[in-house]
Amino acid sequence: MGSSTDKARSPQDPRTLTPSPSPTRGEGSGESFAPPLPLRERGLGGEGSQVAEGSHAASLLELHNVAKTYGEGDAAVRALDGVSLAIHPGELLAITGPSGSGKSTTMSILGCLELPSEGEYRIEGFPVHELAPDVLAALRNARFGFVFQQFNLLARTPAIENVAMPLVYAGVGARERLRRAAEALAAVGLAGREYALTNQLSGGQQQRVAIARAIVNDPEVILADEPTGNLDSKMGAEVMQLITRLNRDRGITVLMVTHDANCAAYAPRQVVVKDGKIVSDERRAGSGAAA
Amino acid sequence: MILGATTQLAFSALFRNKMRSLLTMLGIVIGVGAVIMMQMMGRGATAYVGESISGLGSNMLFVMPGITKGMNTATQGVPLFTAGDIDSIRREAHDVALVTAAGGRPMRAIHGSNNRTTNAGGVTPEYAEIREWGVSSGRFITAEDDRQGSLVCVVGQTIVDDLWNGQSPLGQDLRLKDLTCRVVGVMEAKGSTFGTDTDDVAFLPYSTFAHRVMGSDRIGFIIASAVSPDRIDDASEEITRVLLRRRHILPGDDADFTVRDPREILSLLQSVTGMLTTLLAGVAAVSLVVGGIGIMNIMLVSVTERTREIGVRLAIGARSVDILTQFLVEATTLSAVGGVMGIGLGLGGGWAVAHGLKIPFVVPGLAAPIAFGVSVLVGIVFGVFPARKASKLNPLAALRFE
Repeated sequence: MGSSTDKARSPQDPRTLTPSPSPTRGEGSGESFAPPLPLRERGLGGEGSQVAEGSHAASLLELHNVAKTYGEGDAAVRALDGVSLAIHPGELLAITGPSGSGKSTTMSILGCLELPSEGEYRIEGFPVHELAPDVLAALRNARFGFVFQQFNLLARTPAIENVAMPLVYAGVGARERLRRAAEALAAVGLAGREYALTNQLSGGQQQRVAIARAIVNDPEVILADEPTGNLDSKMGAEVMQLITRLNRDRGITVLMVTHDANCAAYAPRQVVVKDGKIVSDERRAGSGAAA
Repeated sequence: MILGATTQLAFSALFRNKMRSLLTMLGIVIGVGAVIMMQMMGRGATAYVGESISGLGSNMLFVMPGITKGMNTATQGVPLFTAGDIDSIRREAHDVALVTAAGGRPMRAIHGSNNRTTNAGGVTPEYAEIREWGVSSGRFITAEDDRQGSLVCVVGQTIVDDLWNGQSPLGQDLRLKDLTCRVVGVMEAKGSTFGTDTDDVAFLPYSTFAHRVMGSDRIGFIIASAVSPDRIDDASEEITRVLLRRRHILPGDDADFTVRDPREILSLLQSVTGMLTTLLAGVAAVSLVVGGIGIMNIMLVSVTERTREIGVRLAIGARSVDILTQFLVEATTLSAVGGVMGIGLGLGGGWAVAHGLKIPFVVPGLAAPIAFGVSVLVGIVFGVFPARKASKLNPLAALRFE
């Protein structure tokens, strides 16, 4: 199934091929934002292979021998120790492992929230590990959507404002922000609840608002950190079905970190991390099943 | 565009915590309000003193017995003036236009069943000219009254209001302690000066006052006017010279009398009120700084409280400068809105005080925009630190913050 989803993301999906304008950040942000990194310009798949090297031609995200150390000297903790991982466009991948295993660190590095101490991280073959914080911010804004265990919505704020938040930093105008936010809310089944305050929504609904926020900027990758961790099993299942559907229908690559087996079962590819190393990486045919 | 959106964010964040925002602003509101109010009161007082100066007569001099050292005048054992002193001044001091004896003391004034304590004064006809103060009805004391020591008096408006309930007192009797005199005139109403009611007065002919009230020919003080306002200093010197000679003061000794230009006192007073205004405004400005610290305090709390929000914003693509701007705009909005409210409060309070103290209501022209500017500045200055703290957060650490 893995390779077929790769294709689903290729020529049929015009979104990824159309060179959309690079995400300029509005007039206010004119400073040196000129990374050679393609935020959206470069296509995926075939074209990407010219940039990428070696056998991971079609990789969207690629960790190569990545290590991450926190702290210094005797207090140093090696959270990741030589992790290599290639993620292809359109994959739905679960990273599991006991707590403290390094799965969250893997996720943070993949989401450009932090940089590896050693090794390389490439997006479409382009090295990310030496980019400046503001460029990383722009990169996260343009290509990633984040879903958190705690939802992390603004309290007592209309759902639509929460959803529109990433677009503010993409320099999208106010009216367009609201239009796209309403669209994203409709896509997660919350049409009509645009102006409900976050504290008036159930946990499942809040997580759906968070997912709408993650997809509002049309990302290629959604990173979900324990997306069902704060939900009961029924709501958790709903959220997982929504995520699966986004992966299937929109071809969005989904990476989730979880220690919930039910949740992980939705993923055709499961990576198990333990003590900072990948101990297993399995693809199961015909998955997405639990839905 | 980002700045616009950030401002919107800041506003909605402040609206989410209305009570807290309001309380945070309170410091600035009070600070700005106090500055504005002090300015207005100070300027009102200064304007009031100015009005009092112009009410005094344009070129008047007071001569009082007593040794003046600094602000104090010692009258103990100092002889009063004599009629001869006045004659000499009239003869020898060429820059003096008019000179007159005057005396005064508080006395009980009685009419029918009404009575009040008023200032009884003995004056000559020149007094009205020197003070540039006329009668509104009847006549003033005449030279004839003075020569004969007539039992007549001219009363101020307050006496009329209080003892005659506003009715005309002309031709009726007024008892000053045990002295009964006929009211022949009413002075024009002048209002009060420094809380002293100028209209609370009853004038008698000087000779009547000297003989029947004081029981002495000695003169309590001398009032003179210069021939023109620019000759006041010359007139003052001439009077001093004459009196030094007549009172046998040797060169080098201190004079046992004082010639005063009341405008000097008033202009001194004016500079004092000016200084006081500055001082009070300075004290009020300190409260503005305290208000700024209040904003900083709340912003720091807010940054800590919203660490996760900051984390999310950073994760979804906010650059650190966006976070900095957001918090800076929040702090500045707090202080600017507080500043506007403070200006309103200051204007209202200043009006109430001016109304209560009966001093002129002066709208502080520049004070309002300056106060607004300062409050914005306070917001920026005290907002930078918390905003920087927020913008320096590591996205991951902020997200994991509990």
